[in-house]
Amino acid sequence: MAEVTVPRVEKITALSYGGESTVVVNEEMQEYAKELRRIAQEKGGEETFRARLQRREGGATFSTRESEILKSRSGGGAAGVNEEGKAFIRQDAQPEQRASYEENASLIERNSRVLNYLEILAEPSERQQEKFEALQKEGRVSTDDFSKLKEAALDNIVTELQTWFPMLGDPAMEQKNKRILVEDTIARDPKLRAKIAQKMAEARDFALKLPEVKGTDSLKQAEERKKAAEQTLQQNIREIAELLRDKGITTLNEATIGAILKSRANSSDAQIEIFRQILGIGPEEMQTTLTLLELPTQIAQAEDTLQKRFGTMTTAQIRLRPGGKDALDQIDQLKQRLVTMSGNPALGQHLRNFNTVIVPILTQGKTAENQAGVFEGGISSAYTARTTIGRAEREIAQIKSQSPDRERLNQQLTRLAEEGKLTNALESVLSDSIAEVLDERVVEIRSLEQKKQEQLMEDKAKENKEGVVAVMRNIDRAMRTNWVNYDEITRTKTIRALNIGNDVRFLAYYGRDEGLKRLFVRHSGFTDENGRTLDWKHINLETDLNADQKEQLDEAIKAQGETFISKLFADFFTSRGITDRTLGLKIFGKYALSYEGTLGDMTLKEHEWVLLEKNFGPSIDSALEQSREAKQVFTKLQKEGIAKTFKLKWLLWLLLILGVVGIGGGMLASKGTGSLG
Amino acid sequence: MDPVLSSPITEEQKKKVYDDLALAMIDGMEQGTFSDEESRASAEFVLAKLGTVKTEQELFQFLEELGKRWSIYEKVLLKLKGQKNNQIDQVKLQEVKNKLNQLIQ
Repeated sequence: MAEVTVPRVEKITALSYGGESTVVVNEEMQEYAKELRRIAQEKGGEETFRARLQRREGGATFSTRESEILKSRSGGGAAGVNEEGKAFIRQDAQPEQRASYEENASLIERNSRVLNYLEILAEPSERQQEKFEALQKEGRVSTDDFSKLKEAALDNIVTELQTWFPMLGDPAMEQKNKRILVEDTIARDPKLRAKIAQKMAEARDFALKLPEVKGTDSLKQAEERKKAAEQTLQQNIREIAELLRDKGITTLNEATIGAILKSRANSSDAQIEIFRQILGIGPEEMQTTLTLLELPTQIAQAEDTLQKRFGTMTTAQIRLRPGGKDALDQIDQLKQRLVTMSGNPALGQHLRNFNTVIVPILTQGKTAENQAGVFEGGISSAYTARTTIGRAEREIAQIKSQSPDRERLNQQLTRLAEEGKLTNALESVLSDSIAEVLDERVVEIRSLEQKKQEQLMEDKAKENKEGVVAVMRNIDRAMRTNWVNYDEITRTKTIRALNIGNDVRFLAYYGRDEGLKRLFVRHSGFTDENGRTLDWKHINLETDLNADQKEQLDEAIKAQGETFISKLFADFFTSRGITDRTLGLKIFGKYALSYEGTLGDMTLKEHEWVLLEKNFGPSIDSALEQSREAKQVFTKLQKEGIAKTFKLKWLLWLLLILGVVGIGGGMLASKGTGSLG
Repeated sequence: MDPVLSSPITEEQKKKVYDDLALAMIDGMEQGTFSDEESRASAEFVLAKLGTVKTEQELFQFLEELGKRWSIYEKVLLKLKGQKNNQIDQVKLQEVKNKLNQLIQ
């Protein structure tokens, strides 16, 4: 395994999280690159890119093909997967088992729907319908209408995104407009799909490790035994029917044979009944025929016994021995009976028929190793299967009828409690994924902006503008600490809600130009001629600043003003997304999170939104004009006859500055996009 | 608009660009300078955009955008620009030759 230093975004991201500065490039990646090279040589570049897209994201991931298995892991052990691969909950499931199953199944449906849609969206538009049909064939989508899947999936994302962007909940904005907005922004971010797949994989792995409910295992095993035995029985019946057909007997079909096997107590009775029906005689005649058939054997056995008992003695000598006369009389009677019965013409015919019709059946397939042959072996196996079925049925009935014992009940409760954790995980898959995408994008954008800031300060230093550099350094520090502060040493992220709320409100009331100037003065370190810190809120910006200070302020604002506003609003909106629920998110496991103030500190009154619109509307227009992706979204919306409302523009701008407009986080390298000029 | 740049590109040209880009991606992956996620995101971008490119001008715009997002692809643009400059030089050279011929005659 080779370690390679990667001077790109991952490194910056890793560093900003306080992580390692190297990315491990493993052998698997090297091997995969070789595989891609082979495809490039054989099929060309376009197919190579397609192959790259089709490959699963590295590491554990989830395919919606696994949805049904995942569903079957809920329901307190009362769920399973049927022969068609669909999950089901047993009819006799208890209400709490059913509730757990239904809740988790519904969440899995939702998450899989979004994942399927994002997978389709990743295809070029002309291939999307084709992809949808492919998913349909695999049974991964339940609807036959792509637009329905798309609408439902986008609605799911819109709902989750409202946590961060409350304007998406604005009833004045039509749902279809919200969908367009989401479709052309965050839904196209490949990170989102990867995150959802990864979280579903985690949920699946958790589900597979859920503790088993023992009782349900016994039931399952009994049901499996029954099913296997039923298959064996059917197979035996088919083989017997086939043998009879081969021997020219068409009067007994599979149904008749099955009925005989079911109604007769043992394999011997079943065989006799089959022979009787083949010969077409009544039960009594059959019995007589069998008796006749057995007589030679009985005579031979009696003579054998006599010989063993009396050895080489003559008949006369035997008669004189105790029991000798009775033994000889019994043999005589049997022989007499044989003679009498053989003389009966009807019985003689039955016997002949038996020899010509039944004996070939009985001897079919008989070998030294297989004494039973096809017929007797089949009947015997069928009776074993029948016995197994009966036992399994009794066991199943018993398991189902008994009230759960304490241990089983405890196991069931443990399982349901664990399934509750699964519910929480499934419920937060979308919101956690969105949170992580936004969080990571913010870090990436900020890292790049930071570099830009350093470059600007270096440029000013080269121009010997030390005063401007000093102000810029102060502003830079303020941007990194005043609203959301990340301490790399303690790995603590502090949300300063009151500071954020106050500054946003301040800009709303004072407007962009004056508001920025005053906020910059606050952090500038400027003093009056007596060395006292300036009262940034109340000074006269024209008369209370000296010429140098004015120049430094203007230059700093020119260089950092737009970044200052973008960062403030990005912190404002992403911090609003941190709620009690999202505090528990995995991403915050990367760093400790503290909160200064409350969420309420960042709540704006309606008229404050109006002021923001008045003061920042034109700037947002200008920023959006610079973004090709943003313009594409607007063109689409205009085709739908939708007016560019302020809230709509505001939302799009926010998504733009968070780097989730365009494919693959296009903000990362497109300088100036989204900035408020 | 430059008449050379506004000319439509052929499928063969496009295929060549796909091939060069794919090799750039593979090189990056082998050298460890291009992550799994970057290769995936860029593949998505290439497939979504390159198919819709019709003229040389659009092709250059696409490659510029691609190179800005993922620098490993910059070399493809540079290579193409070099070829284009040679082509333009050849055209201009021919024009000069033609004019000289006219003057001589």
